[in-house]
Amino acid sequence: MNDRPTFEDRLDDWLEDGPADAPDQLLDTVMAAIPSIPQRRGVLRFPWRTSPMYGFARFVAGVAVAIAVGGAALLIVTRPAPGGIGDRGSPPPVAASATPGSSAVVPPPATPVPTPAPTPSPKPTGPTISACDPAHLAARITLWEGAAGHRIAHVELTNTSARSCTTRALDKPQLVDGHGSVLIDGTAPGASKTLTVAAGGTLKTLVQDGNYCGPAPVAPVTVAFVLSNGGRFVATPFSKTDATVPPCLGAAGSKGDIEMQPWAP
Amino acid sequence: MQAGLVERAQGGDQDAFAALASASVDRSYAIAYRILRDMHKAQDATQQALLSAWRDLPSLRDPERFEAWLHRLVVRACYAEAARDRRWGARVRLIPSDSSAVPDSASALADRDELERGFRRLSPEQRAVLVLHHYLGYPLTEIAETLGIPVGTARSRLHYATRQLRAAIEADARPTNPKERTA
Repeated sequence: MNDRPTFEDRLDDWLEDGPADAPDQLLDTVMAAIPSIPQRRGVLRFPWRTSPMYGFARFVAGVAVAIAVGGAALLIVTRPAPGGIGDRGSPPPVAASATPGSSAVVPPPATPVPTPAPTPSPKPTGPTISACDPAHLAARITLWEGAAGHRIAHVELTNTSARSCTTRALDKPQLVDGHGSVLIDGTAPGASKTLTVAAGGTLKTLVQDGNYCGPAPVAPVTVAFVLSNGGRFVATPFSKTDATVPPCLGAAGSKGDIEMQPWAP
Repeated sequence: MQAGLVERAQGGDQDAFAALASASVDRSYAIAYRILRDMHKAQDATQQALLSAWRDLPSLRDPERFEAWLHRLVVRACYAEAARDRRWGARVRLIPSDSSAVPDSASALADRDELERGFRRLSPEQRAVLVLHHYLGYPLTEIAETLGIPVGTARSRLHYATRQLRAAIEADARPTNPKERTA
C-alpha cells in the first residue's frame, strides 16, 4: 500500500544513472558556430521562434485560417449586389484581385469584361496602385539560421520601382540552388491579404525549410517566391558559396518542407 | 560571478559565453539525455539550446536566472527533437540485458528495464516534468517557470506522468509473469 515513496525513490535512482558529462566535441561545435551567429537584439521577435519549432506549423495554420476568413469576408463585402438570386448567373469579377488596374504582373482576364451595366455604383478605389512587377522586386537573404533540423532564411524585399505597388502577403516559397533547380517546392497559399509597398519600401519575412533528401545542391542555395499570377523572383543568396541545405530527416527521396511567414513591413 | 559573465555575453562577448557554456553544457546534456533517452538526440538538443542561448541572450532580463532560462531552452530543444521523430513510441530500444558483470542484482536490472520501457512510453512533456522534478529536484513552482506553464498545470502533469509511468510498468509486467504478481 505504501509503495509510492518506493516508486519515486526508484525513479530518482534510475534518473540519476546515465551520462553526466557531455561529449567533448559538443561544446567545440557550439563555440565554432557562435562567431557566425549574430545575437538577436530585441527588435524582431517572432512568437514562433520562442516556442518549440513545431509551433511554427501551428502559427502558420492560424495565420492561414485568419487570412482565409478575412478574405472570405472581404469577398462577400465587395461582391456586387449580394442577395439577388439572379446574381448566380452573372459572373462577379473573379479572383478578388484588389488590383483593378492590371499591370505587367497581373495577367489580363480571359475576356475583357465591359463593365456590367446594372452594377450599383462601383466604389471608387482611389488612386490605382498596380501589382508589383517582379522585375522591380529585389529580395535578399540577410541571414540564415539553423534550428533543430530546419534552416530559416531572413528575407528582405525591396520595391525598387519609383511608384508604390501591391503584393500578396503570402507567396509560394521555394528553396533553389545555384542552377535554379527547385530543391524544395512550397505550396501555393490560399487567400492572402494584399500589401502596398511604397517606392523604395521594404518588407520582411522568414522562410523555414526542412528535410532536404535530394542530391547535393549547387551553390549558392537561396529562396524564390512564386507570385499568385505566376511571376517569380529569386532572393539574392546570403553567401555565394553557401550550399547548405536542411538535413534529411525522412526516408531517402522524401519530400522536403518549406513555409513562409507573411510579408510584413 | 555568473551574472557578470551573462552580462558580458549579452553584450556579445564570446569568451564570456564560452565560459558560461562550458559551465553548463554537462548539466544541459544530462537533462536532454534523460528526456530523450538517446545520446545523439541529446547532443543535438543541447547544441541547439546553447546556440539559441547565444542568439537570444540579449533578451534575458535577469542574468541571475541564466541557468533556469537555459534549462527551458534545453527542454524546448528536446521537444523539437521529439517532434521530429514521428515514431517516438515505436523507437523503443531495450537496454541490452547481458550485463551480468555489473555489480547489480538481477532484480535491480529488471527494475531499470521496466522503468526504461515505461518512461519511453511517456510524451516528451511528461518526461520533461519528471526529469525536472526527480532529477533536478525542482519544486512545482520552478518546474512551472521553466516550462512556461501554470503551477496547476505542472502539478497535474507531474501527477499524470507519474501515474502513467506506474501504469506502463505494471502493464509491462502483467503478461510476462502473472503468477508472481499476486502479493
